[in-house]
Amino acid sequence: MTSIDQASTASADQTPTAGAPLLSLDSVACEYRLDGGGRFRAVDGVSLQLGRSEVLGLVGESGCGKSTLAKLICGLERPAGGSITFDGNPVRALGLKKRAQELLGIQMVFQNPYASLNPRRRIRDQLEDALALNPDGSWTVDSLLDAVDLPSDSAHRYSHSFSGGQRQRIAIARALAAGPKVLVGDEPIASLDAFLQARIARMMRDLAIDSGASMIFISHDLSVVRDIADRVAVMEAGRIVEVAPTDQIWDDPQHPYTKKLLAAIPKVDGKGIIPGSS
Amino acid sequence: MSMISIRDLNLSVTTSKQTAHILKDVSFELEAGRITGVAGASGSGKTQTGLAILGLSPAGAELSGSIGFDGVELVGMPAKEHNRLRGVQLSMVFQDPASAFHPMLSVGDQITDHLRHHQKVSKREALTKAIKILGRTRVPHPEEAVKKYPHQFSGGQLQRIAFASAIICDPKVLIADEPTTALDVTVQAGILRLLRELCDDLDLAVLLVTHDFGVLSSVADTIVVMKNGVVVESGEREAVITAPQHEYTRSLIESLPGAEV
Amino acid sequence: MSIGTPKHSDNAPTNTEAVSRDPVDPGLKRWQIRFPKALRTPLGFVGAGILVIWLIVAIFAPLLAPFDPLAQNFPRLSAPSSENLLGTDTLGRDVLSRILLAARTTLPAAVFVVICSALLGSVLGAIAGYFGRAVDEIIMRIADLVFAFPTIILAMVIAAALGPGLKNAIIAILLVSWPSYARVTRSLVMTARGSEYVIAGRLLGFSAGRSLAREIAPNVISPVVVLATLDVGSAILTMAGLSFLSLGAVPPTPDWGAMISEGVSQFAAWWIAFFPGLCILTIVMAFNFIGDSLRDSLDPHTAQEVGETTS
Repeated sequence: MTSIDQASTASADQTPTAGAPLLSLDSVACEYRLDGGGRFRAVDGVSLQLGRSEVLGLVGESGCGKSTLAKLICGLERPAGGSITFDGNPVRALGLKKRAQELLGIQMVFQNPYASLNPRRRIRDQLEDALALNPDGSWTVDSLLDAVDLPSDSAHRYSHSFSGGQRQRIAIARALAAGPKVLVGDEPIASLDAFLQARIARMMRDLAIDSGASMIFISHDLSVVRDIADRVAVMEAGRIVEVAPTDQIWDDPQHPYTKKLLAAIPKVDGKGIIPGSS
Repeated sequence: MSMISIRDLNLSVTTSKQTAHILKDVSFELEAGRITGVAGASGSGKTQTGLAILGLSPAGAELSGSIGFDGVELVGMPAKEHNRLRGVQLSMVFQDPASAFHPMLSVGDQITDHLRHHQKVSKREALTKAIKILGRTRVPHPEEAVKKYPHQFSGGQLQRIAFASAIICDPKVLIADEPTTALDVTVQAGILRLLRELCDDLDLAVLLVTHDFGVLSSVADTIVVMKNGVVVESGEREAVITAPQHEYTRSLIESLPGAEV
Repeated sequence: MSIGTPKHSDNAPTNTEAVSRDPVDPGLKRWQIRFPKALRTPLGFVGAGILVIWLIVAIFAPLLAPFDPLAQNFPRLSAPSSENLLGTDTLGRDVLSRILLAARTTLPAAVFVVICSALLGSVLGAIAGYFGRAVDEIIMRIADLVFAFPTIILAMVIAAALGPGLKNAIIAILLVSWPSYARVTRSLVMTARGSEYVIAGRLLGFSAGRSLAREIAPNVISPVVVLATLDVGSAILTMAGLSFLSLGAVPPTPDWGAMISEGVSQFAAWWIAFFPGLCILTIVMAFNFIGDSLRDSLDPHTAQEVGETTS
């Protein structure tokens, strides 16, 4: 285990952009109390760095702790150890307090588009709430909707008249409206049709980078992450087992778990080969 | 040999305001020992096609055309007769294994329920058969598994149990609706292999509904592509994937991440 | 539309799908258009009709009442006749006039007490549900304490302690009826608090108050409105009960409950108690009908059926 830790720290240090990282996680841990009385360590000593204008893909299977990591970054969970620094400010758990001004630069797009929009408020009102955080920004409700390919008359509608993909684009627009420096996507495409997944993911990447933000894109789908991420971190059982530039992960995976994940992706070649069987 | 033959199937659902045409002149065949994959975006009617075969179309639905099953016409069949076929000759596996099981009943009770209902076997016999079938679908320790409850299994194991439940009455047709969508990619491969084996060994006619071309590429023999209730393309797996004829099929394949086109 | 271009490719099918699924025009605010729609169910019609009649009666009572409700001008205990349509009471007052004027006190008092207890209960419940822990414990244990007693008994004790009078009766009912609102609101807020749209708002820097008012309130308000409507009936009954026990409106103010209480001691003169009782029955029924159809139309599971029967 120690050798893996060293490997991950070593590669995490090779942040492509110079200077202090925008977001830095230093041996962060998070525990849940179990019903039986024990504790479950969902995140176990994760160290990661995110540079400016960088897209970091975080992949792993369900239950590996990647969503918990996203919540830790947003201050929605209390870490059991380690520290998270965003733009020089420590990220503290939100609790019931109002979020600190200097942490508003971290925004999140959630997994379930059916739960992440308020069903009883107009799209316009929800976008305007976010725009209020960023009065100097160039976004308007109309330009946001246009950026996510939605007609401008969507603004006065309610979320129930949109499909999952459309809702997710509204959620992306809301996160962008706040003028984030870090956009965290927690499985933002997992509940969408396969044909939409790549498109929404690319849209997120382009919008984040164009607005000068960085992005952490969490997904269980390596092939989508490959499409949009600059670097990829692979997570297994609460630990980061490998961090490397995307091409390197894809062409020359080091850790056995990464290799296993890659091998399991079915190829769209029409050959009728089930992954893993040889 | 064609086990299910769908001819000009139309399905429309009338609500107070309007009539929605869910399926328009859908025609294709399911053959024994072959996996027919139906691809399409959500709302394309791929799930409704499967449900129509099972006689589970939504309330207010009007079905016309023909679904021939082994010489029997399923369209317009009285509900009672359809009930007798469903779960015995026509079976189904759903997307989310966690919600397909009753949380308070043991796995053994649930997978033998319809066996005992339809074939009037004793509880002991049913349980013996359940253990055998669970072993067949590679659920670890089948003797203990029958006594356990759904929450004690992982998603992949539950899906294996769902397959066991589906094949326990020796069906001829299996409809699998997005059976691997809720599962991790490393688990998915195992389930696909199981589906392939069951299809080959039991000579099942399988209808595999999915939006994932990767899944179709690995296990389907024939691929049917649907869009807005219409079949836009159907053909052999390799032909459809490597040389799609219809523009829509091409756009779907090209939209996939990392598509090497 | 060209399918090859990814732009808007998912718009076309999904829009029609959304429209067919939900009969409500997405451009309109949900609960604004459902209120009148709700009353278009058969029961809603009847309830609204009865209520409208009673409102007209309450407003124009002085004009409709044939006699002065306080004047003791007639023979005592005379049966309904062409002069006194509903007879006279023990003091020789016209029952019909008294009933009509009593509507002016009972109806506004009941509506007022329900609005106040719904406000008090849902604010306390929302605070308990949102903040949890000690605040939740304190508020909900007080609520449990109130729940432990039968409503009318506790209201009696409070009204007796405060002294008779309409104002004190209202306070007593307010104090015993808020916990049901607190309980409902608390559970709704607890569910909403964990939902992603509320968390998204908090990530945008919403304070607890803003989160509650802007994000959560619109989603919990309709069940509370339904509960309140159903509660008007029971508030009228409790108020009548208190008056019956001489803990409500002070004589000689006309009041249905007090009239029933008077009638009970005059068994042969059935009209004294019967007609006010009938009034309470119709109005409680009307509010229950309205509440029922509101509940059906606001509940997403039954809303569609309501929409279908009305169109």
